[in-house]
Parts: sequence; C-alpha cells; structure tokens
Amino acid sequence: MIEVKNISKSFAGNAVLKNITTEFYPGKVNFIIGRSGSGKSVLTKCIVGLMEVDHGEIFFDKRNFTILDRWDRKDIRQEMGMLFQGSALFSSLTVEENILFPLQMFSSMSKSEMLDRVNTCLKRVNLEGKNHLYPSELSGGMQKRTGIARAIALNPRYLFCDEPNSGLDPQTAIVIDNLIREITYEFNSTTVVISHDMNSVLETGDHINFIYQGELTWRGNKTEILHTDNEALNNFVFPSKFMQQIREKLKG
Amino acid sequence: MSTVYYNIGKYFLLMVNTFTKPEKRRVYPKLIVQEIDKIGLQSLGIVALLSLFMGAVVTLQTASNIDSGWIPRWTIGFTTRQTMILEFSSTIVCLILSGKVGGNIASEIGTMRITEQIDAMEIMGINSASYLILPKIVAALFIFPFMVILSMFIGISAGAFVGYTAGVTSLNDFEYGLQYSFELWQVSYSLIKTVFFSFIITSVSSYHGYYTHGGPREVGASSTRAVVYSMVLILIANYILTQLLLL
Ligand SMILES: Nc1ncnc2c1ncn2[C@@H]1O[C@H](COP(=O)(O)OP(=O)(O)OP(=O)(O)O)[C@@H](O)[C@H]1O
Ligand SMILES: [Mg+2]
Repeated sequence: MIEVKNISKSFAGNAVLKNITTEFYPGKVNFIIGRSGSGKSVLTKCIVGLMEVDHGEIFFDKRNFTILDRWDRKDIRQEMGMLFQGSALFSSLTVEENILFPLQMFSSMSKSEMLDRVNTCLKRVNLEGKNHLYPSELSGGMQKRTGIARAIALNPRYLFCDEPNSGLDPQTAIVIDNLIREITYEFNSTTVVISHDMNSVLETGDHINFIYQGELTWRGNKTEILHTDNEALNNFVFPSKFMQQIREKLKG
Repeated sequence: MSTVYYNIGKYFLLMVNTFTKPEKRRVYPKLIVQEIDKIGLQSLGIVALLSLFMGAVVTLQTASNIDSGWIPRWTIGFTTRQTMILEFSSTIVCLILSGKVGGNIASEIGTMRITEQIDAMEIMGINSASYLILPKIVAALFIFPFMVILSMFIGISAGAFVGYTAGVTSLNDFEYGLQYSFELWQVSYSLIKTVFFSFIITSVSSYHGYYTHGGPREVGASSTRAVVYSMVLILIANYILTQLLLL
C-alpha cells in the first residue's frame, strides 16, 4: 500500500498540489483522474520522488520514503516500474535492449533467461518480433507499449502508468487496460494509473482519485462514480449528453 | 554572484554523485569502450587535420621570420617542436575538442533529461549521474592523452615535410632543432594539462546537459554553455598549471 499524507507542491509560488492525502491499495488498479494541468503528473512524480514535495510524507508499505536520501531510496525504487507520459524510452537502445536494461542492472538471470523474459513481456504488449527496432522507428502507441513492457520487466511491486492508453486505438487501449489489470491482480502489485480514458476508468476503476485544480476532491470506485453529486467530477466524467445517457443506463 | 556559488556547489555535488555508489562494476567496461569510440576515435580526423596544418604553418611562419642570417636554421625545427608540444597539441586541441565533444555530450545528456530518460533511470533505482557521466570522464582521461601525442607527432612531421619541400630547412637542421635542449618533462607537462582539460570538458559539459530544463531550445542553450564554460575553464586551468608546473 502507498500512503500519501498531506503533500503540497508549488512551483515559484504557483501551488500545483494542495494538501493531498490518499491511499493506493495493493491488488487494485488505482486511478488518478482530472483535467489537463490539474497536477496528476506532478502528483505521481512527487510520489516516486522525481520531484521533492514541499510538505507531507509518502509511505511505501509503512516505509517513509520522504525522509530517505537518494541512496536509501534505491531499494524501494527497484520495486517500482513506471510508464512515463512520453514513454521515455532510451533512444540509443533497441526495443529489446530497453527491456533488458532493468534486467541487466538488477536481476541475477542468465542471458537466455533475460531474453526469454524480454520476449514474454513483448508478447504481453503485442509487440512480438519488434526486438531490434529503435524507438524512433516505432509509432507512438508502440512506444507506449514498449514502455509498459519495460516497466513490468521486473514484476514491480509498485506500478505507475502515466496515461498508458492515450494515443492508442480503442482496441489496443483495451488490450493495455486488460494487461495492467492482469498484472495487478496476478502479482498483487499496487498500481497507479493516470488516465483521461473514461472507458478504462469505468471498466477498471477499483479506486479512483479525482484531482481538481490541485486538490483531491473525490475518492471512490467505478460504481460510486455513477452516483456522485460532485459537480466538477460529473462534468469531467460525463461531459456530453451521450455520456450522461450512459450513466443513467448504468445506474438503472 | 550567489548564482555562481550555487552552480559551483551544484557541480561538485553532481561530481560526488558521479563517483560515489556507482552501478554494478560489470556494466562499465562496455560503456567506457563506447565512449572512447564516440568522444575519442571519432574526433581523430579533426585532430589530425588541425595538427597537420598547424605544424606546417608554424614551420613556414618561423622560416619567414628568420631571414636575417644570424638566427640559425635549426630554430625552425626547435620552434615547431616547442609550439606543438607545449601549447598546440594540448591546449588548442583540447579547446577544439571542447567544441566538438563538449557540445555533443551536453546535447546528448540534455536530450535524455528533457525526454525523461534520466527520470526513467532514476525510477529504476539507477544512479543516473554515475551511469551516464562516469564512463565519459574515464574514457576522456584515457584517450585524450593519446590523441595529444598523436597531434604532436603529426604536427612535427608535417612541419618537417613542409619545411623540407619548401626548401626553407634541411632535414638535418630540422632534426637538430627538434633535439636541441629537449626535455621529456615538456611532454609530461603537456600530458598533465591534457588530463585536467579532459576532466573539465567531460564533467562541465555533462553538468550542463544534466541540468537542462525545458525543451529542444534549452538543449541548444546548454550545449552552447557547455562549450563556453569548458573553454574558459581550460584557459584558466592552462594558466594556473603552467605557473605551477613550469616555474
Ligand atoms: N517542472 C515544472 N515547473 C513548473 N511548473 C510545472 C512543472 N511541472 C508541472 N508544472 C505545472 O504544474 C501543473 C500541473 O501539471 P501536470 O503535468 O501535473 O498536469 P497533468 O494533470 O498531468 O496534465 P495532463 O493531463 O495534461 O498531463 C501545470 O500547471 C504545469 O504548468
Ligand atoms: Mg500529465
């Protein structure tokens, strides 16, 4: 479980996160949703320690991450996998080398075991046979999927995905959603997904956090979200007539 | 002024991060070999070209300035040697390399920074400073001295060849000048300087790349800053080292 306690973050006086407290549960797909610019990516980066918080604390299974220095954070970091919003693949390495990278750094597998693992991961994201392409030779969606494959290479205990299915076609998006869900349930990992994709939120949302202008204004699951009277949330999730009709159907 | 201290402090902290707690030892040899190729061998052409023409020009310049008759002919070889060994092959070659290699390093690391590749490493629990910067520093410390020696050799040979073919000196005179009051210490002095310059080029450029914020435009700015700072620091270090080593 990841516990976030009263964290705040501002950039040059511009408060981006305001006193956020929440939890992310193991074996569940935990969502962070909110409009563009509401602070979702910053929140995730604060949780994983890529940005230092101004205030507050973060606990990974009772281990206080905030007070650790960068060397002591290493142990917890090796249990994390993260998909970045822009994929962040190593551009000088091929698809295969990208996924091999964490394995080579941290596993004690033999060379052939590592290659097996790479191929298993590639298969899970439907990228078999793309081993020797460079990131620049992939489409945006393929880069995303490679990023996921790299993030899950070491079966992370904590998995963070920043917009895993933005820019994917609906079918692939569902493949990725299912993959994230499977991994979460299979390995009981604590998964945090940032998403704009209401389909995946309503389908997979075990625990949903809604950020509005830097504040956490609503928490609940995919059933509760249908019945909320939080106006900002309603406008966000059900912005159109069409979506509102769907909500009424789902409620009934 | 306070930003100067801030940056110096930040630079030293980055160096501490680079040299403490590196990653598994077995990942480095391959990285170092790649860097030796990238920052060393791929710059051989430009170093050779520069040294060739520089040696030739110094020889001709000296020859054209000693018509007076009472300056002996062997001065040509002597001057070419002194110029190449003491200053050109170390300081000037490193200044040129700071433009080529320094700019390269800063834009490579800067691009990795803005595309979150460095964050991706950090998230995995990798000491990104050490993984990215250490191999570059080690590679430069290793390969630059060889390139400087090569530059001395090419420059002096070019001088001898041009001097002879232009008819301004005989090979005997040139050789006499080369050997006149030669001390191996002068080569050592030059190589010691090179070691310092290599460190400056790679570490300062890495620093500017590593702390790039923003987008492609900032990567360009970092790259320019890397070159300018490396050059200025090389010039200052050259002055200090010369004072310490030769006087
Ligand atoms: N490094 C930074 N320096 C200054 N301001 C920043 C920085 N990173 C983010 N911000 C600001 O923080 C706010 C939230 O950004 P964030 O990237 O978290 O948005 P987001 O919710 O992830 O949006 P999107 O859905 O578009 O990705 C924005 O107003 C942004 O300008
Ligand atoms: Mg974002």
